[in-house]
This record gives sequence, structure tokens and C-alpha cells, in this order.
Amino acid sequence: MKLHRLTDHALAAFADYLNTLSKLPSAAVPGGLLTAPQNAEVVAPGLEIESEVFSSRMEAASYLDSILSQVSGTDIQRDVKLWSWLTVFYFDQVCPARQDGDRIVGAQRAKWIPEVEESRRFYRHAILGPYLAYRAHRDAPTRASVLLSDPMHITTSEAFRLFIETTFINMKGPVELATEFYFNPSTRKLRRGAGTKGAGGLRRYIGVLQQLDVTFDLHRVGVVQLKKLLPSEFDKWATSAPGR
Amino acid sequence: MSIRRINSTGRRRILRDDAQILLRTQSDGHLSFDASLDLTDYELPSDASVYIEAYRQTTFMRFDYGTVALPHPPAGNDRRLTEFASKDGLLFRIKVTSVGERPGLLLAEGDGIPSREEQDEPDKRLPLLPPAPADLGQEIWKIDFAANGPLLLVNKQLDWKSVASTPMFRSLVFPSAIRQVLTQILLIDKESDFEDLQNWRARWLAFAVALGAGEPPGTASEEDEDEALEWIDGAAERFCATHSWLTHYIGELDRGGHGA
Repeated sequence: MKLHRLTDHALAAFADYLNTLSKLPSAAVPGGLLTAPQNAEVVAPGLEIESEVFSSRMEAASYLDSILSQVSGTDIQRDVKLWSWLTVFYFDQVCPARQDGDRIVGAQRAKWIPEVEESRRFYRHAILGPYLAYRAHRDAPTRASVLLSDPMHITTSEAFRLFIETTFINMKGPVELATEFYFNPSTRKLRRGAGTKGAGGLRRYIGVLQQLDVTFDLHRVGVVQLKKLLPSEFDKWATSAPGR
Repeated sequence: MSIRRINSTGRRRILRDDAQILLRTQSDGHLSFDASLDLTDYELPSDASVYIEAYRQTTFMRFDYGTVALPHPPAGNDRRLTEFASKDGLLFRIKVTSVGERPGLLLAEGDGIPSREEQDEPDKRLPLLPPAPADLGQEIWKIDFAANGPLLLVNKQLDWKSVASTPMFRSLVFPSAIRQVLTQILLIDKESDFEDLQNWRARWLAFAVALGAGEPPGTASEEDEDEALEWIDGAAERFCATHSWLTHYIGELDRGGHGA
């Protein structure tokens, strides 16, 4: 299928559908939103997108990056209608129906229609958010495994939120070390205890990074140096990280 | 989470006069930039590394600019801002970092540096509340707290630049915006430092101090909260008095202006 963006009319119809889902969770996605001429316009002639099933947000972001990097002359990351079309296109993955047929959309519309101007909400979009995190680490995506290993419909990862709400999302050393400390590559999940609020946990890791960021240019601080700068409460991760 | 920026390592603040960023639009439509840096008065080690970062929200590019003694800007095409399709909201950061015993130690930094295009006049003021267009539905304006300070979002369905500059709009919006921003700083972020002007919160508090509001209260206790609310009110009132907003508003009404 050709990559499209929604029209104004279709964007409004999609927003209405989300409101309907809040009251009637079994409501079907309106037909024709993806391709009907009044609902969608082609982004770039000849640019096709497949309806693939992704195992993780990382895989989805990687695939979309390969598609969207072929688009020029438009500010992709701020194209609300494009991201909304992608939401509809992958709706069964980002908002899957339960066994009883109901879909749970929740109260946050920014998850489905991105609020690109809102610095506290733009990254909450179920597809744009992972795409932005992936773009920051596209040179070595596994570095960001701790951020993007959830399935498409899980949008509540604390690791993702903590990083993307700060400038650390773009920093190789801090992200790589977080993956080394807190991510279990065997289970593709956070390691036990990573999410604790106390000493050595992810939240504390971000807090310490914020303190170090005042003194150091953390873009230049690699994993080895960063480990030395961290207080001893993180030693347990350094010595017990999987694969060592 | 707000972090107080204690300058225990003698980090220097690079002034905007010493870091000018000029944007160009290339023939292929890409933005690129030229930087003019003057670091001579900062007493920095000659071998310290210089970096320029361009950023907007999570989008980020970083450029190696050589050293303090031997600036070495990337070649023309390598200064293309390929990650940014427009200059909206684009800001720059200059970092000078140590290469000695503590590599990566931040020796000097200038943040929130705006760019200008060749035809623009240099703007040496640091806007406390820059306006920006936004899709706000039926809402006219709102404050957005970005990492580098608040933005005044104005509905992009309006001629937002013109609207935001009218006395009618300013007289109605600015006092409320000031209350909102100062409330965020004192009561939510619990920040009362007004000296580290690198920090947007300190710049806002310093602005209120300059209006004659007095030093901001502490942020620790419930009593402080009451005092903070009074201080915020006082700052907003002084702002209105300084700019005679009621007079401007009446003048607009007399001229039949409706603010658009």
C-alpha cells in the first residue's frame, strides 16, 4: 500500500472514532480511512509501506525509518496527519482488540494523534515516540534496547519515558549503560529490580545523570568513564549484568 | 525533575554576543549553519574541544568544531542540519570540554542560543516567552514548558505572529502567563535561585526581581508557598504597572481594535 497521510476530514473522523471507542470499545475502525481519496493523500509517489507485524517497538521504528528516510521536502517528525495515518494503518498492533473484541484507548489522545507542539506530550504517540528514540540511535540500535523492546501496544515503559523526557535520549554512553545495567537480553525485558524507586534503580540513574550533566559533557563520556562516575549503589548492576 | 546547577567546577557561561549562529537554506532545501565564536576572553585551555549542538525536542545534531586554539568547523556540507526540516523551534548549544585528566569535563557552555538568517537583524535580547504557532483546536493560547523554558503557544489558525504582538492580546495574556510561569518555577519546580542566568528559571526570577518584586521567597515550607503566591501576584501587578497594560487596552478599545 502507498504511504499516505490523513486529510483534515479523516483526521477529524479518526478523532471522533477514538471518542466513540471510549464509550463503545467494540466499535469498528471506520472504513476507507486509509485510502479513500477524501480521507488520505499519498505522501510520495511510489513509496510503499507493508502491513508487517512487528515484535517490538524497535522493529517497528527501524522499519518506519527505512521507509520515511525516503521522504524529502517535508518535516516528517511534525507531520500529524502522517503519524495519524500510520496509527490507523497499524491500529491492530498499537491498540489490539482483546478477546472480547474491545479496544482500550484510554484518555490520552496524544497516544494516537500526536501533539507535536507539546514538549511534554509529543513523544507519547505510540509510533512517533519509538521512531524518535530509534532515530537517536540508528547508528547502533541495540544500544537503545532498554527503551524499545516492548511490543507495539505497550506504551508505558518507564525507561522510555525517563529518557525521552530528558536530553539523555540522544546520549550514547548513558543509553548504552542503561541497556547494559537494566535490560535482560534473554527475556527482552527489564531486569528484576530495575524499576525500583530506590538506590540503583532507573529513576535514580536518571537523577544521577542529571547531576553529572551539570559538570560533564555526557556526550563525550563513554560507558567505562560513566561507570566510574556513578556512585557505588550502581555497582550491583555493573557486576551482575547479563552476559558477564 | 529540576536540578539546581551548582557551579562547583568553575564552568564558564558563554555569552550570546560571543556565539552567533547564522542559518542558510541551501539550493537543495537543506538548512545549514555558520557559527561565529569568540572564546578569547574565557581563559580556556587551548586544547579544549569545542562542540556545537543543534536541537529541538528530541531531535539533535552535534558538530565537532575543533579546539579553542584551532577552531576547525566541519566542511560546508557537513554543517547541513539534515535532521531539521524547518528552523521552527531550533536552538543551539556551545560546549567547551576538557581533554585532560578529566575528559568530558564541561569548561564552558552557552545554551538556548537562537539562530538568525542572513537577512535578519541580530537580536541580542533573550526572549523569556517566545511565541510559537501550535495546533490548539479552539484554544487561543497556552504555555508550554519545554526543557529550555516556556513557550507561548498561539493557535496557528490565527495570524499568530500578528496576534501575539497586539497590545490587546498582550494586555490580556501576559499577566496570566507570568503568573503561570512563576507558579511553575516556585511552587512546582521548587526553584528560587535567580543568579545562574544559564538556567531559564533563574532568568525568569531575575526578571521579576528587576520589576521590583524583591527577592523570591524560599520553597521549602507551606508558609513559603503562601509567600510565593503573594510574591507572584506582586510581580504580575508590577509588570502590568510597568507596561501600563490597562491604558493600552483602553486605547485599543477606543481605536476599535479587536486584537487581530
